[in-house]
Amino acid sequence: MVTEQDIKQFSEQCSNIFEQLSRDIIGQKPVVEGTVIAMIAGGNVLLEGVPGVGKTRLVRSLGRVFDLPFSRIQFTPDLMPADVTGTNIIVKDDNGNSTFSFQPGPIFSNIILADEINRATPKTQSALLEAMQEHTVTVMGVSRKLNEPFFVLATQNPIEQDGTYPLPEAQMDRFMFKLLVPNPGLEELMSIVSMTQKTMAEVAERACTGEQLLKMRETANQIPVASDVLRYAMTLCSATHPDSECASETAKKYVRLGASPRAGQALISAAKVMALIKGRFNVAYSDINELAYPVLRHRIKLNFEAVAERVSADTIIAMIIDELGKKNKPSAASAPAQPQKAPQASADEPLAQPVSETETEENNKKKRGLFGRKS
Amino acid sequence: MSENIFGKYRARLVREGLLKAFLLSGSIGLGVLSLTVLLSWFFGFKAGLWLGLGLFAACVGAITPLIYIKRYRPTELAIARRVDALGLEERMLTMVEYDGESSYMAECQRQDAMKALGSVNAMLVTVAVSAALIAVFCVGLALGASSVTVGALYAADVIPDGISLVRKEPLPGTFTLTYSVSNNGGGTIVMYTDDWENEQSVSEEIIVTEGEDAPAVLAVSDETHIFIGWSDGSTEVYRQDRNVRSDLKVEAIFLKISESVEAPEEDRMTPPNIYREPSDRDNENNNEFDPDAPPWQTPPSESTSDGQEDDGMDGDWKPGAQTQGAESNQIIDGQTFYGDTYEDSHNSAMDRLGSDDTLSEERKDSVSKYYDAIEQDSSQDEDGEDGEDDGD
Repeated sequence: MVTEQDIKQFSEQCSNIFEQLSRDIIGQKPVVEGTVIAMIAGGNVLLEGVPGVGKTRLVRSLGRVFDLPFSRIQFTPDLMPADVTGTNIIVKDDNGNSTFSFQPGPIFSNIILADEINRATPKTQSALLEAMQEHTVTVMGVSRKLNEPFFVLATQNPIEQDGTYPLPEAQMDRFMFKLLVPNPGLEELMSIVSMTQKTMAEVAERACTGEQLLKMRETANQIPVASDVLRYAMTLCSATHPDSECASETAKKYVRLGASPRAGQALISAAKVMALIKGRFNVAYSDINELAYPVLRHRIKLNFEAVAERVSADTIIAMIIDELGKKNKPSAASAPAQPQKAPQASADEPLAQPVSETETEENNKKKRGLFGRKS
Repeated sequence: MSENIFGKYRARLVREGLLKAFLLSGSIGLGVLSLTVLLSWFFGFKAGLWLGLGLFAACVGAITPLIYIKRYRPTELAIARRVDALGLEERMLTMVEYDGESSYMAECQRQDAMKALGSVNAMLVTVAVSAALIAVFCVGLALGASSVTVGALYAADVIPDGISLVRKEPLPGTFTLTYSVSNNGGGTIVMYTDDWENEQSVSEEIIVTEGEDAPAVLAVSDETHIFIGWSDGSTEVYRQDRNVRSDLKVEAIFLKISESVEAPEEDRMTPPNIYREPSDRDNENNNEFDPDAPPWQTPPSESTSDGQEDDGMDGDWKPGAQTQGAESNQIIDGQTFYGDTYEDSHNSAMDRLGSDDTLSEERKDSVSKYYDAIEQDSSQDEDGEDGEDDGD
C-alpha cells in the first residue's frame, strides 16, 4: 500500500540520485535518466557507445549512489561461464576430508558491470541469461538466488567488430533498455576536462539504499495506467511485427522480427517510473512514445531492405509512432509533452504543476526529452 | 463526480455531436433527394421534386437523432479524451477510469488531474468537425442543389424529361434522310460537301430542316459492280433531294458485272439504253416506285421526296451524273443481244399505237409515218453498209 510518505521519499530520493550522479557524470543526462529509470523499474541496461564516453564510470557511480555491492566483469573471448557464475571447488576440512564448496562468481552482486559484453563467446554470454531474467544462478544443478536488487549494466562498443560476438536475440531481449551513449558536446567536454584535471576521483555519494530502491519500484508500480494508454503501448509493440494484426506499414517494409511481449512489460514498467519522476500520477502517451526508443531499438531485427537503405531502428520506431499517431486521434503523436518536474513532497501539492498554454508551447519547442529525442 | 467536472465541456461536445450528426444525416438526405429527383426527372414523374424534398426532410429528421445517439453522443471517456488533448497528458482519462478506486495513489491522481483541469480554458474545447465530413456534406449539397434545379425546371416544363433526351428525338420541323447501300453491297455512297474534292462517305442519318435541300450524294460502285438505281426508283447516280418535307430512307442498288440482267418478257423488246417516253400508265404511277421494276423502265429523272422531277439534263452537269446514253446506264456484258433493235422497236411502237384509244386517228397516222420513215432510213443505212462490204 503506497502512502504519502512513500511518494515523498520517492521524490526526495530521485532528486538525490540525480544530484549525486551529476557530480561524477558530466552531461549524458538522457543516459543517466534512462539508467536510473531502468534500475527503479527493475530492468537491465545495455549501454552502447564508443570508448571513453563514460559508460563504465556511470555504472561505477550508480553502484556508489545506490550503495550496493558492485562487480565488474571484463568480458573477453576466453572468459568461461564459470568465471561469471562461480564454480564448485574441492576444499579440505580440518579432518582432511575433501568436499565440494561453491565459490560464487562475480555475478553474485547487486550491480554487475558487464564490460564489453560482446567480446565474450555466446556460451559465456548465455551464462547471464538466467541471472538477468530469473535472478538465479544454477551451478552443478543447484540454483542459487541472487541478491535483490539485481541489475546487469552491460556495455558494448559498436565500432570494433573484430573479435566480437553479437549478442543473441534471447539475451538482447533481457535488457530493458538499450541506451546509446553519444559523444559529449563541446561545453560538456570542457567541463569533463576541467574536472578531471583536478582529480579523477569519483565523488558521488550514497543517495539511497537497495531497500529504498525496491520501495521506489513498488511505489512506481502503483501508478495507474488508463486502458487507452495501455492499449496504445501494446499496439506500438505489436506494430513492430511485420505479420501481426496491428502490423504497421513500416514494419512490413523494414522489420524482420518485432518486439517480444517482454518489451510491452518493460514499456509499461518504465513508463510508470517516468511518469512519477515527471511528477505525474498517470502514464501518458508521451511517456510511451519517449520510452519506445530505448525499449524497442534492440528488440527489432531489421530486414535486408532496411540495412540496404541504411534505415536505423530508431527511424523505424519514429515512423511506426507517426503511423499510429495518424490512425488514433487524439493520438500519442499529437499529445503535447509536459515539462519534467520532480515529484512534490505532499499529495496536497501536486507533483507537477500544470502549465499554461504558452508555457507548454515554449517548452515543447525547447525541450528534448529523455534519450535525446523530441517528445 | 466526473458529471460535474465535465459539465461545461459536455455542453460543447453535445453541440458538436449534434452538428456532426446533422451533417452526416444531411449528406444521406441530400443523396436520397438527388437520387429521387433525378430518377423522377428521367422517367418523367413530375411530382418527383416534392417526393425528394419530403424524403430529404424525413431522412434528416429521423436519422439525425439516431446517428447522434449511436455515434456522436459524448461519453465520459470521450469528453476526457478531448480535455486531455488540451495538454493534460491523459490525466482526465485516467481519472475517469479510476473513478471508483480508493487507493492513495488514485486519490493523488484525482487531485493532480483536478488541479491540471483548473488550469485549462474550457473555451479551448471548440467544435471540431472533420474535413472529410464537411466535404461529403458539400458534395451532397451541390448534388442536391443541382438535382432540385433540374427537377424544378422539368416541373415548369422548361426542359424535357431525361428519356426524351436520351432517345435523341429530332427536333420539330426536321426530317431524317437515310442513304445506304443495299444488303448486296457493291459500292459506297458519298456525300457532297463544298466541292467533290471533299466528299465524305455517308455513314449515318442526315437531319434536314423542313423545306431545305439535302446535301447531294453520289452512288459510287466498285470495280466489280455497276450502279443500277436507288430503291425509290431513281436511276441517277447523283441525287440531291430538294425541298424536303418528309423522312426518306433509300438504298443504292448495285449489280455485279458478271451477272446478266434478265428483263421481263414483256419489256425485253425495249433496249435498256434507250429512253422510253413515259406513257399515261407511267404518269398515273409517277409517285409510286416499283422496286421490282428493272431500272430501264424508270425515267432518267431524279425523284425527290416531294415528287419533284429533275431531268438531269438541265445543263448543270455533275461529275458522275447519270444521263441518257451514259455508260453507267447500259448493260454491256457480252451476252445481251441487241440485233434487230430498230425493227422490234418499230413493231412494238406500232402495236401500241394500234391499241391506244386515247390518240385520234390523225395523230396515229402521223406517228406511224414518222416511225416508217425512221425504219426506212435505218434500212437504207444497212443496205449501203452491206453494199460497201460486198464491193470490198
